[in-house]
Amino acid sequence: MSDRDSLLEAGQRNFRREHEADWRELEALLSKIERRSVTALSVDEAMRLPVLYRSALSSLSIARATSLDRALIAYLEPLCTRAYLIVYGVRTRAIDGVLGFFRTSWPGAVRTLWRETLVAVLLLVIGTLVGYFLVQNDPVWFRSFLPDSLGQGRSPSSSTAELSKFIYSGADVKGGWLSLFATTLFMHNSQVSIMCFALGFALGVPTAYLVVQNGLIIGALLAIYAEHGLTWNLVGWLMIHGTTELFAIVLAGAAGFRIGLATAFPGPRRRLAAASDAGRTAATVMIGVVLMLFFAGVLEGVGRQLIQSDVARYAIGTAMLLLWLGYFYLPRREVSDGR
Amino acid sequence: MADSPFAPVSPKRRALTTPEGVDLAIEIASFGARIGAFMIDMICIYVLVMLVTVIVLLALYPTYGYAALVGFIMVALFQPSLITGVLFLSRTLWFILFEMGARGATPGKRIIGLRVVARDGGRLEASSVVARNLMRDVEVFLPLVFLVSLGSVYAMLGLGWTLIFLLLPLLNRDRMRAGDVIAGTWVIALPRIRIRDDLSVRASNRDLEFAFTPAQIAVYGAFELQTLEALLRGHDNKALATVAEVIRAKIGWPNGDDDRAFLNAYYAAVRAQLEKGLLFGKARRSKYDAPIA
Repeated sequence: MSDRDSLLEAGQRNFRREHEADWRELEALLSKIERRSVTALSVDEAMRLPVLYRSALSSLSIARATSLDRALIAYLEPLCTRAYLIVYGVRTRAIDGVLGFFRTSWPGAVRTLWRETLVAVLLLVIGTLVGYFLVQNDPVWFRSFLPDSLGQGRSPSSSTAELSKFIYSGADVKGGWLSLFATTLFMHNSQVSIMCFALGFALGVPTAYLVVQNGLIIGALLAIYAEHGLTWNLVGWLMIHGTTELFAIVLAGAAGFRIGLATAFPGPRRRLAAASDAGRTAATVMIGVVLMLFFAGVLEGVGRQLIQSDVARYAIGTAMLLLWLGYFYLPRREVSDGR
Repeated sequence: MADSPFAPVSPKRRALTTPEGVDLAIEIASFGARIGAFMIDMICIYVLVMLVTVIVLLALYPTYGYAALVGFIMVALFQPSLITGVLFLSRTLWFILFEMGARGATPGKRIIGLRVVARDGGRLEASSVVARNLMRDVEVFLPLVFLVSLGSVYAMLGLGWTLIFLLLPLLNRDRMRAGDVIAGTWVIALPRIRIRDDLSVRASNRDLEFAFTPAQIAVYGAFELQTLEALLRGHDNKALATVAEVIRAKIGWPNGDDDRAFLNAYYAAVRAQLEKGLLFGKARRSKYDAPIA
């Protein structure tokens, strides 16, 4: 072999000898971050990370262009990808994310869904009216809107006393059971709301069905209570948690509609881009929806059992509604800390 | 991949160019790998929920005695929605919290070597992670609901309809499920690979015994070289012997050497030749390309 050849060969070997220590150091740093967090790094290590990342990237480029050692490239590629995802992808402090969510992301996402929200409200109102008038004209409808599990023994043939007892019972229930009851309600409602969101992918049709169905249940209940002149009392019973819960369901429906609309009619953008934009806005709304349902569960499971006064129930329901409306829709200064 | 004539071209590779201008050529995870990861996660979640239940019952036992167990059975019988709710909540939180971590993967995905990344190559936002995981119940468990109540025509129709969700990953090249579509994510294979020793270095201590002529070296290209590399890194001695025999016959090398030592030395010689060509801008992809002068 000529001198030139052995020089080139030596260059190849030196390439690896010179950089292998860097690669291993990078590997160790990445493992440390993945096992714990970025904050686990010391200042020196944090300063080293981008340097090592760029060095590994340039090694990968050199290896791809000059080396035929497949195992080396197969090692460098995932290493660089891992490093890239950490260097460019790691979140800032979690607390900033949480604050940003409540200050801008959530109300902002809710506001951008205002059209879908109006549609969902309309569907809920239509469902309520249809349920009300159908049951009023023919009480047989009641059973098809409220399965026994929801009706819990109430029916058009129930007496005024029975119906009234329902609204004011529960005061004697013990605390432990109340929280269990609240938990059950919360979990059931969040499952329904998540269905509303996810089924939006099927062009929003099942979502519309779920929202209307909620309206039908309310309408049917209203109809049999109105028969006995208990409308005022029932609305109080519904409102204490209902303004929060139904608002949440409406928002979940709106989130589902947004996904369905973007998937069906992406507009000038590519369908996938439109779908993922809509999905992320809708998901932001949904995080908040689950929180709202948690409040609603506490109000329904605990508050309603402890508070028996109609006026207090109305007051709490109205206050919650105003609170949510103000929080979501009141104009505010743009906070431009960026995403 | 544009900067490498020899990077493995695979239909599963996707371009992901870093701001530094290097294409990382990420690899889309297979449907099978994802099902495997999902199964591991589900087993972990159910075992965890069961363990917590047992621990809670054991903790309640000293105070309440068997009443705790009876109470639990009563809840399970008369409030089954509480049980399904707990399972739903734990699996949703499991997936969301783990995927929000620095690894972007649940334990199941880590074991299989998968990871969730944003399709645009940017940061994986919390909203994406939530979006893709809130879809999961519709995709996986809704078909099961219809499957359980199979019998009526409606259930059949429902099953057919929900199967579209379940099988969506098979209907697109990027193996995206509905959750990935709306979250703007995809799942990539990102295995942990240890650095392996350089076969050329392994050979160099012995290459004095093997002095190949330029004509003997100029037989193969990069494709054959890398196939030989895979063989040398493996443990299939029978295949090794066959290949050694073929190469000896082709280059007119006498029999008698140790197969592995011979192939290793030959690999080093061919690689040195081909890499020299690369440095001068001459690539020989396979034996059908012109030899490097």
